[in-house]
Amino acid sequence: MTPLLEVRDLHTHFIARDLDNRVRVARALNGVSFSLAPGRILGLVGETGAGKSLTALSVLGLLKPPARVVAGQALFEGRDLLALPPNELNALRGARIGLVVQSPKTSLDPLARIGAQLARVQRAHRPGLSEAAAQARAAEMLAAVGIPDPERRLRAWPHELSGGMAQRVLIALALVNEPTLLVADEPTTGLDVTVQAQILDLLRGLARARGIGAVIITHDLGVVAHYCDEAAVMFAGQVVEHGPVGPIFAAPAHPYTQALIAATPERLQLRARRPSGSPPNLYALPEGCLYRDRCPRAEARCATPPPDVALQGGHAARCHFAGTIAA
Amino acid sequence: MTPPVLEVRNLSKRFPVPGGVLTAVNDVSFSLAAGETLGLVGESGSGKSTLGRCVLRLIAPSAGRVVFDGHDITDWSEARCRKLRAGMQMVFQDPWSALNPRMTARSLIEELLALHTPLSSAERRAEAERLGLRVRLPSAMLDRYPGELSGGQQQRVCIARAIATRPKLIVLDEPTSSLDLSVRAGILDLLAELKEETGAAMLFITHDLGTLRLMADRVMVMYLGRVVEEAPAAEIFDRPAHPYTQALMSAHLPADPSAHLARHVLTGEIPSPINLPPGCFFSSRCPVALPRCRETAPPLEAVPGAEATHRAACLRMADGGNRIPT
Repeated sequence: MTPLLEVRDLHTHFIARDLDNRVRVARALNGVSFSLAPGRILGLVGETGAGKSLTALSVLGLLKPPARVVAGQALFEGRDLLALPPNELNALRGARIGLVVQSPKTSLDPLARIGAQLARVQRAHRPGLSEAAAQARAAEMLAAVGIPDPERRLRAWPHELSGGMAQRVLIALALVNEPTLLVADEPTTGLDVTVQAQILDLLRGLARARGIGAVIITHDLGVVAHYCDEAAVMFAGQVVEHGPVGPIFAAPAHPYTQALIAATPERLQLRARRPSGSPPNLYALPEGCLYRDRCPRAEARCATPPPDVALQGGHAARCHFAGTIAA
Repeated sequence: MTPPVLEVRNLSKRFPVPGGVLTAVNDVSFSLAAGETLGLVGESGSGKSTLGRCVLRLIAPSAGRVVFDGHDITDWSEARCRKLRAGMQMVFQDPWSALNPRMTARSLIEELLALHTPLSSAERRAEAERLGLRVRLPSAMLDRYPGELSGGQQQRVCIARAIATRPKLIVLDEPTSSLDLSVRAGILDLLAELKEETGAAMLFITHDLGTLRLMADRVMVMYLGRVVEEAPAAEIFDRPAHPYTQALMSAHLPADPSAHLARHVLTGEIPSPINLPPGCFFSSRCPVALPRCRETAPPLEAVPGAEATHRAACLRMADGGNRIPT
């Protein structure tokens, strides 16, 4: 099956001049690769600064200077998003590709009613659509995301909504034009756990029912474990391990993934020895494996770039020892 | 038996807001012994942070009593409370906004010692060094400003400040919520060590059930300002009695795809804390609520068939209908 989205060796740098007018380059993404099949849910997981959101912004062409994609491809239904002219990219975003961002309150237009915002997104992509038809479809969409009394809610202002309701409206906005790809950046961070469960159920249900491929960006391994089919673990701007969720949790192959899973509250052993240290300096990245300073089993050969070692069933890890270390 | 470090009786906190009065904490009573860690869990708006600030007298309660170390401090003046603060400390969720950005880590720690101890400047310097090492901040780190430290290191400075005066009570308000997993693990390690070493009573406020299981001896669950359940930690995780606690536990996503989830999906809206309804506040979302739940506020009472220390506020415990059917 051809992938819905295939990201190949994506490199994004922040290029700026310092006070002495010397060019400084922060290599924030260093070869991100993953692919997503239609109807599947991929969890892009990692810690702060690993490049999760930057990957999404790079793929969707939403970077602002000084960030710039310097190499790589992002093939959406076979077309490279990174090489498309702006007008063609605009025709895809909001229509074939939906985006749900983290902070619902700041992402809605405070000066427009919910119904008007939902209609605007539709009419931007289908100029012939009447306002009445767009509003009717908006009400349907609000009902689909589980908002009670949708006709009345069309008239609501963003500030009248609770956090959970605002997040539902954002999901409705992302899905109203029937996209085939949905990118959700921390869709439930900041929501209460009982509300988080409702939103994730909704996202998964809609993705399954409509055959949408979804990328969920999160730092919460619980969300990945229970709502994603596949996972891609990011560290220092690279995907260090990817594959189906089951094997990644049962037998993580990269030492970073192992440390991350061991640090979840369920598995955490207080006062155990664990790797510590800071992520590498993006301005002066070392050659070879970027995790080797923190890695408990680093050896001399880790100074050379590690290969992507394929394991069973589509599971792969970027580590010299991936085939030999068991969790 | 030694008297508790902290005793809170019928504490309420109300804030005047446009359109009425917001009741953040509603008739809460509990006590906390030396060396004990009480986990306070609830969702946003449940009043857990307000309660934490009230017991330290950072804000004045509207009603009820706060007894700290044998003194009823409820009506003490601010000046009198300040002297007491050496014995009670707080660690906040966001270390960045809790630290003065224009002071080095060393002077931030020494500041506490200058305020609350008779130590000379040389002694303060040595003590700050010792405290820094205790929270695993090497000497070189102490000369940095908060902006030059990572989030985890900043939180270590806050913890060093909190233990500097050897307090009897430490209130920790979501101390690890803003930190990444691997950093969080190190901070939890440190807190567990300090709990044993210092013998301080801890009030650990969090919304993360996984963290709670690691840290708390006893757990109190809050919903819209009221305590709905209180029990020893092991007991509450194994046999949650209140329907809200059951729903909260079932919504927790363990980082293990093979873990079975028995999900209780809640419907209904959370009532506004400005116009609270009569009866049980959870009744609007409760799957097992009866009409009378909307009329009578349930008292916090012993859970039938459990230890006496396990108490919950649910009318349906009487007929055994408090279990949400799976």
